[in-house]
Parts: sequence; structure tokens; C-alpha cells
Amino acid sequence: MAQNESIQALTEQEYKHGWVTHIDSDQVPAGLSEDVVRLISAKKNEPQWLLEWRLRAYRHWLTMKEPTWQKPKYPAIDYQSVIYYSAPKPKKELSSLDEVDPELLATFEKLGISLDEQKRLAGVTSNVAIDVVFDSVSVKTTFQEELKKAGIIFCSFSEAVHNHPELVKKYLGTVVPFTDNYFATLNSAVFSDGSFCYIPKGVRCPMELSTYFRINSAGTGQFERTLLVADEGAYVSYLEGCTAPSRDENQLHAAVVELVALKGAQIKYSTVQNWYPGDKDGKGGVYNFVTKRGVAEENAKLSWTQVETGSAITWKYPSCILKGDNSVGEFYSVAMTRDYQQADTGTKMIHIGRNTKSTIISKGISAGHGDQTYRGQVKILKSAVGARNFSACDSLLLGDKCGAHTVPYIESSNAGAIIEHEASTSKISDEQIFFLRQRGLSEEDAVNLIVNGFCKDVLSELPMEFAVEAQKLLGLKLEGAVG
Amino acid sequence: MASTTTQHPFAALTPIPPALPTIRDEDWRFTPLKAVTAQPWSVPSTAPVKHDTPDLGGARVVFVNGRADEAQSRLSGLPAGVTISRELAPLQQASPERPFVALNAACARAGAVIRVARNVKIEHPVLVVYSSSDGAAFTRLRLELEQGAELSVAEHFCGTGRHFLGSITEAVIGANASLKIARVVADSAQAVHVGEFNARLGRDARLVLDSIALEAEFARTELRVELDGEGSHCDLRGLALARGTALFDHQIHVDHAKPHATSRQLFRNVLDDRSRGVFSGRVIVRPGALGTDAQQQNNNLLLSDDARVDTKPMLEIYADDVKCSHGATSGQLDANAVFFLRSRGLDEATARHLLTFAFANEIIEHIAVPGVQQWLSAQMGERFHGLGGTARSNEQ
Repeated sequence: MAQNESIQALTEQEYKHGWVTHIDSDQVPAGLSEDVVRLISAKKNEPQWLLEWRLRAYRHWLTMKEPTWQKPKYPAIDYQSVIYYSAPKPKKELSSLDEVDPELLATFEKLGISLDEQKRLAGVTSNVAIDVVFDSVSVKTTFQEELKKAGIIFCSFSEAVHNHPELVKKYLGTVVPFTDNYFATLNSAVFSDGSFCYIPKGVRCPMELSTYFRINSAGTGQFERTLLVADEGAYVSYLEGCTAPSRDENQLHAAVVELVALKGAQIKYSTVQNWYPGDKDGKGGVYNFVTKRGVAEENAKLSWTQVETGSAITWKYPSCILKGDNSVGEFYSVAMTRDYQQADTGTKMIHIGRNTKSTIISKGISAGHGDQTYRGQVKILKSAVGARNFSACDSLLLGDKCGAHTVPYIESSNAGAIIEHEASTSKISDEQIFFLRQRGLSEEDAVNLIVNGFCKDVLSELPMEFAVEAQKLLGLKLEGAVG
Repeated sequence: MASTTTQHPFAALTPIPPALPTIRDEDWRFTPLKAVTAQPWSVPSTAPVKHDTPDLGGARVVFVNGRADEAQSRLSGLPAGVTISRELAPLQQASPERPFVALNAACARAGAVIRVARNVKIEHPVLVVYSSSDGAAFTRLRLELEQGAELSVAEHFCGTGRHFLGSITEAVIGANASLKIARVVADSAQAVHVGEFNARLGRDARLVLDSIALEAEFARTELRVELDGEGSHCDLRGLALARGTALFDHQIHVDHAKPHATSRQLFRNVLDDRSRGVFSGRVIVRPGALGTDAQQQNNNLLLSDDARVDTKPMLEIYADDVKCSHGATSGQLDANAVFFLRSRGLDEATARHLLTFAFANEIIEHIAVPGVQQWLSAQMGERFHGLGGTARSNEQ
């Protein structure tokens, strides 16, 4: 059947970010021990309090067991064979950020991220400040000067530790404590770098902030940590993108993202995740085990938008703790799995404050042998008088070997709360395809159009630059995927 | 896991009782077993216990404290092709790994088997009464419907005082056969129930089940339906009206194993005082079960600020040509609706009763087993100050 072929063609698209940059890197030996934690801390020249925090996390991690409750199944991870720190070796001491290794710049140029050129969209005055994380360290942050004028701090985590220790100390681990879960604790012990951002009181960040993550070296795990603080009445939109080379072994990515939205602040956090998903037989690929959580104070708003297309296994639940009265949480997600990819993703909305509101829109697309689960929790505490939640989770199945699952938990301890949840699962009907073909669209374009329409509610939430990228990504992913 | 220092609550009934689940077990996450484990259960007394179940005009099978009570039963006068025997059939479908199934396997003393031969239809529903007064008892009921058979059954769980009943009902519904069953828990306010209903449906078979929980301290009902025949259909509905500190829990498990089967679920909880309601509905669509149509709906009404509801509607789908949906809502009575009724001259209490009754009655008025709806309408009337009498009849 032609339809099947076009679905197949779509699903068999090669991963286009699968190349490796040959660059010398400074690595610590594989394995995990207190010495490695101390070594990472020493390499980064960290203050004593941070080392102690890491060590406490590491000791706690030793007492924990790897979770087994989740749907994705994977062979046991050998934590002693992972390299916990890998940094591109600078040819010489960098005196300024402009002296970044050209090899590195070329790498990001190839990924379509120009660090030298300021990325401007024709006719649009908005631009994007990027922090680039290569393996374990942040290599360059653009637009720092411009941001400084507005009082915004946007830099790598290591820089923040040195230049703004009071802020880091105040907020680090307040949203995701080091005891939180197995992978977050591991991250707390060995995190190498990441982004730090602070928006002062009442400032509306003039540009999109962005972090781009790239895993390059073999055998390394990536453990970055992002901490984003929006002070009272501030606004920021933050983007995150990821890629990795194609390798036969599985690589571990265990990141932690903490968002703090103080009174009246707004944070919009968008992710386009395209880690290497493994080959079409399910060999290799990145394990994406990420902990993302935000806390919203009074009148604050947190919004998560994610497009998950990569990784062999995605396992993440960006969450909102709606602590302050009238705070708002949003979660928009598109997850696409094909070949042997597995995705177990969703959100948690914890309503604590009065009149808190949350919206969950999740779209799952499963093709080939892909398997995906929406797993979410809406919890209304007794104190959350007048809380409101709406959730809609839709799944689209392309092919008869894939799976789609919905596991929502709804826990209400407040009679005044109104909670609605709905979910549906369906496939693209032959009639829909027939109609579009009859209008002159090719099989592939028809599928593409339908899938993009299916995801529209979520894609429209993305900042424009990302929306275009996400749409293209879905198109590529889909090539040949409808049955 | 049961603590080793204290006595196992079922130690008096079986020498090696299985460890009981805790809220760490996913299936029991929202269902603390406090009411079960509070104090050890004894072997129940043999004193007769009366019941007030209305006569539905058909055969009657009565269990008193987990033992067969022939004096109150009526097993004669059945049409040809229908047999009711007092045998304790071995468990066939219930998984022995579940602790309460294992307890049943070890402790059940009495059971019954109802068999309906090919193409035989019974006019009046068979009434199965479980009446208890004290101690812990386990019972088994097995329903076997051959091809084209039709049977309706009403199970009534009732009694006095604090007691535990662990019941398992297993049904095998042959090709084109039809089973209608109503399960009613209207017991004493201290009663503790853990009940399981297990059914396997053949080709084009039909199952209509209503599970109503009106009174008990703790009632957990597991409904497990395997749609093992093409074109089979099940309709599962439930209502829990909880008050006091009651905990009512419905666990639904619908397994679409064959193509073109359809399933419908509608469960409602009305929770007052400090009561808790739990709903967990799981729909599995197996690979190859194409043309599946599954719908699941759970609505919860919280009448008190101290009530709590936990709901988990799940879809697990491994085939693409399917239509599956689920929905869940939770909230309180609509203030505008209450206002409207008050503007028409109703006092606040009556207005709230009327709206609550309407919400609950959507389940009651669709009960398929003849006679059960009238019976429950009367019970609802007591709860809702006479409103129950106005229930519409759906039996023509």
C-alpha cells in the first residue's frame, strides 16, 4: 500500500545530527566515586559549600535504588562505565569569549547555530541570546553585554557560581532538592555545567534566551543543571535544544531544570529535544532522564512547552508547583516516537494556592515500534480553594506495532476545585488521506499536514524560531509514517 | 507488607496468610487498608443473620457469614437447563498472586455455581445475598453461560456490625450469551468488603454490570473483564454514595483481546463528610484488536470540603485502528443551578439534594437487572428525603 510506503519512508529518515566533532577533550576517567565528584568540583574551581552539597548528594545517591516503576524498559545502566566530565580542550587559555576554538564554532555552525552572527529573522527585531553547552561545559554565551544593560544575568552555571554565588546558593536545590529522585540526585553530585539566568524585578527580558546542548564525546554522560530565577514581575522566555552524535552505545543524559517564578513573574520554557534516538533497530541512542520543575509564587505563571522527537528513551515530567494564590501552570507537549523509541512523559500540577489554574495539552504521535505514555498528575490540596484544571491528551497511532498509553492521576481534596480530563486515541483515517490526495497532495504531504494540524495547539505556543524548526522536525520524522 | 511484630489480621483463618498490600503497591496507592488491618478478624459465628433483600421473583442463593444458608435460599423451580449447585468451584480466572484472591483460595468455605445451558433464558433474576454479622468470611460464585444463554443476577452485600467479606464472582459468558448483573453493597456502616468480579466474554457475548456502593466502611470492588471474542460488548457502570469516613474504591480492568469488541464505562462518586472515593480504570487494547471502541467516563461530585477523590483513568493501546477515549471530572454542585432552584422556591437543602440525586440517579435509572432499580430507588429516597420515589422506570 502506497500509504504504508510513505509512512515507512517518513519513519526511516536518517538522524541528521549524527556526526562527531574531532576535538581534543579533557575527560575524567570513567566511573563514579567520591574522588570523581571532588575532581569535577576541583576542575571547576568550585567553592567549598558547593563541593559539600555535591558530596551530600552523592552519599544520598548511594542509599537510593534505581526506579523500576516506569514503563520504559532498558538494560541496566553501568554507572561505573560512564565518563562524568568531558570538556573540549582549549588550545590555549581563553582571554576572551571570542577566542573559542574555531572547530567548535564550526560544529555549531553545522547545527545551524551561529555564535558569531547574531541570529536575526528578516523583518523581525527580536533576537536570541544563546548559551552553548558542549559535552560537560558551556563554551560560549552570546549577547551577554546587551543583557547586562537590562540587569539580566545569563551565563554558564560555573560562571554564576563564581560571579553570583549568593544567588546560586539561595536558589540551588530549592525546587528540585538533591534528595528528589535517583537521577536528580546523581545530577546533583556530578553536574558539570548548565545555564544560569536571573531576571531582576520588573524586567521584561528583551530577547529569547536559549541554551543549546550537544553531547560529542563517546562514553560520556551529560549532566547539566539549569537554574532560572525570575524576580517579582519579571518575564522571560527560554528555549532549549539538544543533539548528539549517532553511536551504538547508549548515552545517559540526566539533567535538572529548576524554575523559580517569584510574585507576579512569568517564565516560558520551551524545549525542542532531538537527542540521537538510536538506529532503526533500536541500537544506541540517548537515555533522556530529566527532572524539570518550577515553583510559582503569588500571581506568577509557569509555562512548559516541549517537542520531544529524539532520544531512545525519554522520561521526563516538567512540573509546576502552584504555591502562590492565583498562580498559573501550563504544559504543552508534542512527543513523537518511531522505530524503537520509548517516551514516558507528562507533567505534574500541584495546586497549593487559592484560585490556581493549570492547563495540560499533550499530543503523542507513535509510529513503527514506538511506544509512548502520557503520565501526569493533577493534585489539588485542601488549601487550593477555587483551583481549576483542564487536561487533554490525544494520541495518534501510525502503524499497528506501536503503542500509546495514557495514565493520568487526578487527586482532589477540595470540593471547590473543578477538574476536567479528557483523552482520545485514534489513527489517521483512510478518508482523511483520500480527501487530501484527491485535492492534489502527495501521500506524504497529506500525512504531514494532518500531523501538523494535530499538533497545532502546542506548536503555536512555541516562540516563532522554534515553531518553524519543530514543524520541520516533525515533517522529517514523519516521512513514510502513516498506516 | 504486614509487620512481623503484630499479628496478621487473617491469622485466625489460615495458618500462612499472604502479605497484604500497602499504599506502596501501585494498585493500592489510594486505598489504605486501615479498615482491614485495624484489628484481627475472627472466624465468624454460626448464628443466623436475617436480611431485608426484596424478593425479585426468582431463585435465591443466601450466604450467611460465608456459609450456605439453605433455610433462606430457594433453589427449586428453575426452568429446564438452569442449575444452581452449592459447590465451591476452584478459582479459574482470578490471579492467585493478588493477596485477597490468595486469601479466598485458602479460606473460602462456601460457594455456588449457576449454569445456564445453550439458548436457555431465565425470566427472573437470580438473587445472591451475602449477609454477615461478624468475623471474616470468603465466598465464591461462578456463573457459566453456554452459547446464546441469558441470565440476570443481583448480588446483595448486607449485614450488621463490623465484619469482613471477601467475595469473588467469576463468569464465563459463551458466544452470543448475555449476562446482566447488579452488585449492591448496602451493608452496615462498619462493614469491610473486598470484592472481585471476573468475566470472560466469547464471540458477540454481552455483559451489563452495575456496581452500586451505598453503605459500608470500606468497599473495594475490582471488575476485570476480558473481551475474548470478536464483537463482544461490555457495559460497566458504577455509583458510590459515600458518607462518614467511608472509602469506596472501584478498580476496573477491561482487556480488549479480540477485534471489534466495544466497551463502555461510566462511574460516579458522590462524596460527603470525610469520605474518600477512588476510581482506577484501565483499558488495554492488545496487538491485533483492531476496530476496538472503548469509552471510559468518571465523574466525581464532592459535597464536603473534607471529602477526597483520587482517580486514574488509564488507556494502554497496542493497536492502531481503534477508537478509545476517556474523560474524568471532579467538582462540586454548580452554584448557578442551586441558585436557579432556590429562585423557584426550593430551600437550599432541597435544591442540593435534588441536584445530587439527579447526578446519582443517572446510574440508578439504567440498572439493567429487573426489579433492582425500584428497590434502590426506595433506598435513594431515604438518602435524599423522598426524592427516590420519583425515579423513572426503565422497564417496559
